[in-house]
Amino acid sequence: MTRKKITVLSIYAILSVWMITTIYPFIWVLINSFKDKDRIIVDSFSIPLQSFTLDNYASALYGRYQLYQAYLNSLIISGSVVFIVLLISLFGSFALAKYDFRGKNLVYAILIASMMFPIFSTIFPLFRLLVNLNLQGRHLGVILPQVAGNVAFATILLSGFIRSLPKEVEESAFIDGANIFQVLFRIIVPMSKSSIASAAIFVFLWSYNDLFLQMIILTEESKMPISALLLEISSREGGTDYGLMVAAVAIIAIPMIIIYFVLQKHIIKGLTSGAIKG
Amino acid sequence: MYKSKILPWFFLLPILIFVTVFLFYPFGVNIYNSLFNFTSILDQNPSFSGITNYLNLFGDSTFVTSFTNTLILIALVLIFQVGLALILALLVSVIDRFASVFKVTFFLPIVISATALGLMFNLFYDYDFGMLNQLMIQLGQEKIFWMDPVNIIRRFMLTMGPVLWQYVGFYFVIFLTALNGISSEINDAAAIDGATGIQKSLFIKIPMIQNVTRTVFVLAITGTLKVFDLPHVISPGGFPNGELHLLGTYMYEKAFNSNQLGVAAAFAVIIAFAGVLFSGISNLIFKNNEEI
Amino acid sequence: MKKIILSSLALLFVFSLAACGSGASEEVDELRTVSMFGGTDPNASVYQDIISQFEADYGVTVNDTSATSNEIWKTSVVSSFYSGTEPDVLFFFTGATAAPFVENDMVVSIEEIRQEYPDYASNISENVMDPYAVPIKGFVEGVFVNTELFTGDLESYLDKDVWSWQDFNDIADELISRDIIPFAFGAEDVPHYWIEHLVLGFNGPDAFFNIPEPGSFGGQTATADGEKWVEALSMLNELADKGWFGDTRGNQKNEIANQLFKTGQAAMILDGSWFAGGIEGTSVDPDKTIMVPFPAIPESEGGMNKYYMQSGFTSGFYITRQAWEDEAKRELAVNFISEMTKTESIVAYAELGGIPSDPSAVVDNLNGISVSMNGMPARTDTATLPLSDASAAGSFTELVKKSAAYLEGSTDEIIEALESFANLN
Repeated sequence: MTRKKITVLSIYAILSVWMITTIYPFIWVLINSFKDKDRIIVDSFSIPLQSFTLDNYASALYGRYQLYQAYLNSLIISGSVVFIVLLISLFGSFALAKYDFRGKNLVYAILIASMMFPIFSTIFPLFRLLVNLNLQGRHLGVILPQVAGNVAFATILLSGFIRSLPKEVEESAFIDGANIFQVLFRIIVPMSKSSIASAAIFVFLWSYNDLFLQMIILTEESKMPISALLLEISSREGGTDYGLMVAAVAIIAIPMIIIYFVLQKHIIKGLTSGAIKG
Repeated sequence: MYKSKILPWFFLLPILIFVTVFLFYPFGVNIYNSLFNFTSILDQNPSFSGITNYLNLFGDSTFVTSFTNTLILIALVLIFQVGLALILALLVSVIDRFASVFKVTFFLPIVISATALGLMFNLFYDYDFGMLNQLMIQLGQEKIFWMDPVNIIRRFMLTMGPVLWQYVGFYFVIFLTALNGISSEINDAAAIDGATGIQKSLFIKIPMIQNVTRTVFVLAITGTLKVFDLPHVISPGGFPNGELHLLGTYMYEKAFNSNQLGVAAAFAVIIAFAGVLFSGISNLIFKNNEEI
Repeated sequence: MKKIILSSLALLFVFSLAACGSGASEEVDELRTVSMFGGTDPNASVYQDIISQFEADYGVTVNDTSATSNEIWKTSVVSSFYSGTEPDVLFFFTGATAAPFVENDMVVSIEEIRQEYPDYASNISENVMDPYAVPIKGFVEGVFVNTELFTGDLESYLDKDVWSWQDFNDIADELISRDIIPFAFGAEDVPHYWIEHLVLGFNGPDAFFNIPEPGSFGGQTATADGEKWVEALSMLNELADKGWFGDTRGNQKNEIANQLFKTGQAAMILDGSWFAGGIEGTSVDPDKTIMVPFPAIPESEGGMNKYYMQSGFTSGFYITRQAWEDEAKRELAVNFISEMTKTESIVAYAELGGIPSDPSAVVDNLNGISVSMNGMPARTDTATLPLSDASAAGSFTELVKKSAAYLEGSTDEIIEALESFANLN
């Protein structure tokens, strides 16, 4: 074998090893979701060949919960959050990446500082604020704080990428007489598609999996999102129904994985090279 | 080109409004609360206690432990979690096929809730039913009490290991995106000049994604200061005796289990301050190493 | 480019409409209720059934938002009182957890209700009634015993009503020789029951309401009482050394301990009556399970002859002040709770386990463990609220945190833990 082939094979080997570690928990969850709930703790690593059951999924889907409503709630909330965050952070990161102005460092500091606050620290005052704004119990009462919580991350991420983009294309655009908005939307945004997709994925994920905020603001079952489902199931006094729990985990995780799979196809290698060469 | 001094502020205005109203204002209230002594969660008339809450925390041995543990974890995170993510990203950026497969699978641990992951790890480690011991028995060995609190270092590693493992995929995706943004022209030019893969990585690619790396460091540091889910399930209450507490888990305990709202508020202020401090240090180190 | 901005704004508008449109609507014939019978709790189906029946009988809608209890949920319920969004009827904990709204007169006392409705909750035993809430059922705590493992030499113990400390020691020795773990114990996250029962055994039930002052536990200012608290907790180390908790010495999670019992690897477990509900379907037979009072410790307050028990009726139905002030709602709320707490309903709840608050609620076909649990009051001398409920809110967690220290027997840390606990009381 050529040296190159050995190198390539070793690379695949290393990556595969890591892949096994990351896939395994998901497989474990799936396998156990088809197992009778009382066997899960005792026998968690075997395959349920004889005791295969769909009971767990049945209780998750048709049980007490309006699962479909919960899905819809999750989508409304997280979708809105992603949309708003991307919109406003696009403008902000553009400003930070390209402009020099007094107070720029202060803005950076503010953004970084806003990522420091653990949710437990702000939750009680936030709750009172939302009540005063009459947003308690409404989806918007979760969407707005989540936007605030995620926008710093998205902005910092995007501004980092935008700053490292090669400048030639914009320069030629300006020489051709383009204004700021045209440059932003026609040049920068297409060139930043991959990082925008990254930001979108993570913001969606964090919003989707967020628990504290949703539990305190949305107490009505018809408004609760999917992650609340998991908490319900995990904290029963008489003993957790582990079968239900892993089935719920699977149900909650699968849409996330699908969305991620779809979005990540936009992270195409060498997206920018065409713009320079062509 | 970008000369206006006013336009950028307009662009930043929505962000600043959101962050001020929903983050800084409640946190400001939080700072205010930290100066009082609360007797219950909705104590309407707490008594003013100044910096007592802060002094209590600094004198609390569990707090000091949680702080030290978190510092150790930050070091481990930066070296192993971020380091591994970078290596994996470099590897994936050079292969031709199956890149998508790796991208999706590396991401999976982040998608699965920490409750389920914690349960799984607990079931690996468990003495009576756990998989590790089942393996030991298969291999003809004696069962080992993996999570024995007496062997605190091993327990620390077993608790923090999953925390390190879970978020590798997160930084991996960020690094990969950055690497893919490096124009292939530069890669080709380097190859023509005779650079090997490793040389290309070390001397061209890594420096070119410096900005992103700087961002990653800040994210990793702030994330570790707040991390809570996974360690809470594997070693609840920092078992044993709070010795495995991290700042995130101890803060949760203070906020929700003990009604000491003022103390919890002071805690949050300290964490935020630490975050700004460490990020600042990290950024300084990067600035000093910046070429061109 | 204009198109992009316009369509973005349009989308944003649509999203916000969707979000805003889901506000709560006010209906006249509606009762808002909240309970902790969430999701997978078997009680939830009984609760929901009664609600449906109520809606049909009275021709009203019940807007119920129930959820399984956890710290966050408790906080959100308490918070709702302060934002004016509290429900009309609330099934919630009593005691310290409810203090924030009870002490501020945000719920109506039973006495006041009875001035208008003299027969309100008249079927409930006065002994278990809370001043503000009507309980459905209560719990007892004790040692669950898997009698199927008590064969041969151990069989004779099954004839006794109560087991002494010596009995327990002998039983434990025999079990260990048969490679069975005497007690399943998950000290990592739930050391509560052992802490409480050991203290109870050493100090007697009054101790729970007379917690020693800080400083009484060690050093110059130690008192006899304080030192007994220390002894009680140190006992865990002795017991672990003797092998009562297996190879892990109890340093494991509660869920694992439960499984050890449910798979027959451990013969006994100290827990509360809710635990019984989870025995069905495991390899342990609920008919062959009994509950025995926790042993009296020889050095204890009453010596060998006293048996104490922890029990309580720590949750019930409240009517909120807000609902009470509204004449129409008042009537509805009272009727609702009456339906929920009439003897028939109590029987339905009690079938799932727990001691009924209505003495005339008789459940048929009780399995072995339920009969045994219901008989606990008869077999013990005094009952008391658990220490975790009797002590000041948020203080018991100081004791819970140091469970590893008790198992290890490090006296300094034990004293420290007790001091922190006492400081908050």
